[in-house]
Amino acid sequence: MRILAIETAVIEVGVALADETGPLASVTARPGRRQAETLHPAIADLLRIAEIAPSQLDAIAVDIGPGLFTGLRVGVATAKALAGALGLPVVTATSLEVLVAACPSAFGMVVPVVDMRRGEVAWTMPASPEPGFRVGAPGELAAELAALAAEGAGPVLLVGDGALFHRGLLEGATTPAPVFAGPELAAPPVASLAVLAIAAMRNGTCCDPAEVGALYGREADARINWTTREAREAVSQ
Amino acid sequence: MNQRGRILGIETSCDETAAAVVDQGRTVVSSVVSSQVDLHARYGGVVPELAGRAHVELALPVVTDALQGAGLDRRGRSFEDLEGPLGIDAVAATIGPGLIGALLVGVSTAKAFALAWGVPFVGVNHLEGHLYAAMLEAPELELPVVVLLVSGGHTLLVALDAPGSYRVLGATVDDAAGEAFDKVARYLGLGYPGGPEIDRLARSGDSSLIRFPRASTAGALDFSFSGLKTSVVSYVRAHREVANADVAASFQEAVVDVLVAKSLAAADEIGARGACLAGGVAANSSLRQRFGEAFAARGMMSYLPSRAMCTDNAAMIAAAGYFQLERSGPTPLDAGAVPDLQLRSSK
Amino acid sequence: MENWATVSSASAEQTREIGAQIARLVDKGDVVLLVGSLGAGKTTFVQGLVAALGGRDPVTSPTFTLAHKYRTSPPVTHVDLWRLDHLQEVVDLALEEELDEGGVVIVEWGDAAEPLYGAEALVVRLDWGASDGERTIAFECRGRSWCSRAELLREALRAGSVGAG
Repeated sequence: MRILAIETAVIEVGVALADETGPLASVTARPGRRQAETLHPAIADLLRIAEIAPSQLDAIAVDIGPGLFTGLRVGVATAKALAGALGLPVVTATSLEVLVAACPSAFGMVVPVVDMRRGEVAWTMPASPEPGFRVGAPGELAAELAALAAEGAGPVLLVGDGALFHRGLLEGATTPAPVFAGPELAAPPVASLAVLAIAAMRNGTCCDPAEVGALYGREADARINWTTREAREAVSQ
Repeated sequence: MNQRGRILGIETSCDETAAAVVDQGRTVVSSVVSSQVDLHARYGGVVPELAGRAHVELALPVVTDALQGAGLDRRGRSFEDLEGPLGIDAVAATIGPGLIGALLVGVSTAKAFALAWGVPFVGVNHLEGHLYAAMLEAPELELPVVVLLVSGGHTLLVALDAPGSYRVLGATVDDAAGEAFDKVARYLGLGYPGGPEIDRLARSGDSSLIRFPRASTAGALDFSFSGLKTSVVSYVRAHREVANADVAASFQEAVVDVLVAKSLAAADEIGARGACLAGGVAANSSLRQRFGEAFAARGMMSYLPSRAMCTDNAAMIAAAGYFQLERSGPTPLDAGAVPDLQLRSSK
Repeated sequence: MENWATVSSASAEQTREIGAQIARLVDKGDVVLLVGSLGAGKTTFVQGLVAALGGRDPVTSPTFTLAHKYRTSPPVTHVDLWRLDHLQEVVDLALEEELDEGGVVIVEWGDAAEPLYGAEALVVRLDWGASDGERTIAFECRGRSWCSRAELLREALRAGSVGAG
């Protein structure tokens, strides 16, 4: 079983190969918004380094967000097309799931935090009864962390670029302060995604590439309330 | 490239998600455009449709449909021999101009297919694609021709000397012709897209009632439609009783006058054998009629493409990809989208 | 300190010149929302602004493609929301990623983006004036960054009306 994993959701472009023994090879870069320029050569290089032909792959894994639009479009479109072209299934994981998977399991409470720009972050609380993730101001996250601490929860590990970016605010959320993972875990590590995907494939948790979509984490269902774009009848009074 | 020259083309520069399979830049084997098939119903009602989100969901289904139309499965193998050889020789996609978030989906999809199959990727200029639309429907076309490309986003006059060899003669300096149609239509309360509505309403209007300005531009073959749009608004503000039909007819007359006159001037300048229309506005009945008549009067052929070939499609991208691959080889995989890509005369 | 200013323009040429003067104020990460009905001069204003920032390609209307990007300093993303009906489509343009990269975002039909970007922006309202070529242009500074530039804005506008005579 060989899986090619693709990570472009946050600030890193990463590709990794893994099998049942663990990660075999990986390539990562932080190319700003040049995700499309970086991802495909990285995949070609990775396959060449590992001496694996595309036809020898068994599945494609991809981080479907939440994260940044540009990266997600590039990564998800690429994963769908690769899987389609090779006749393979796709394993999906959220950026937050991958961040948690990258942390040592001995650490009790891990809260993954992805920066969503415009002063917002996405996060999941440990053992949250609701599926999915929350998007809001870092202040809201700080309040949830404080509530968790008040219930007597132990130390919390914050991981992801959103935690680092808003460290000043989040540090004061609890006493003692939460622990912060380092900048090497700012983006979901693609090797962790690959290892997660191997486990998912063993459980048969995969899907057809046509069913895969991105989780942008930015939903707005309002119609635009146009006043300037009116027809002549409304202009003439 | 082998003799077959079978190209998979992908187009996602603006609203449409499209894919096509074309042989040797001339023969359309299959062509799929998202708005023309029931993909939205099959793959979840994708609303809203603009601004790039839908492309991610539609790209693979649209490509799958195009491959199927060519007798191939999603892996590019013939349904008759699923373990047989690959049925596609290269993958082309629009790299610009267009909306970055939309372009990236097509570029990423095409590069991934090329990489998976081990075939060349070709990054194509959307506007160059439009130049080949007429050739796909009229293989007898004799070059050089003048191509008038008129769409919502572009207004261009181009001399097409040979496949891969062209000169840009003029372009809009502000609004595209199609945009002027849409904006005037909505201002008149005709909804969006308004081009077809203006076309319909103009038939019952008096096109000589209002003499809207025919803008002059610094470049003799350039266009300007912003002033015309403003003149229409200005006129209606001052004449509130004026009938929409007369405004539509007079406005359309002004646009078509300029488009036809400059196309004729361009044809004279380059000694063209004929002229082609391209782009969504090429569906306008008044433009088609007067363009055809004007060139016939000069003893020149004119080619009026079908509506499917006027509007954004991937067959023209596959054709452009074929000619570009022959002329200058594959595009490296580190190519990205180029939202501000211009059409420049070929060398 | 007042956070707004109004100026009148006698011609498209002068609207362009006023746009050019505003170029002196804009900085990376800025949002400029242009509000005004059809033919009010929004694209004309952007033409002046982009040219003054060193743009060399022609500034045409981005209505159809929704956004044009110019190789100016700082880079300008010229957006047009006229075709959009849902706020989600404005979200999907991911303009904050442009701003994050040090870009300036200028939005035509910018009233549609107010729920997302209206709190920190320069809002420019263009209206038809009494005579055919005349327009009134009102500027409103929103948020701390733009409010701190209100006086500079008024200076720039004085220069703009003098410059265009």
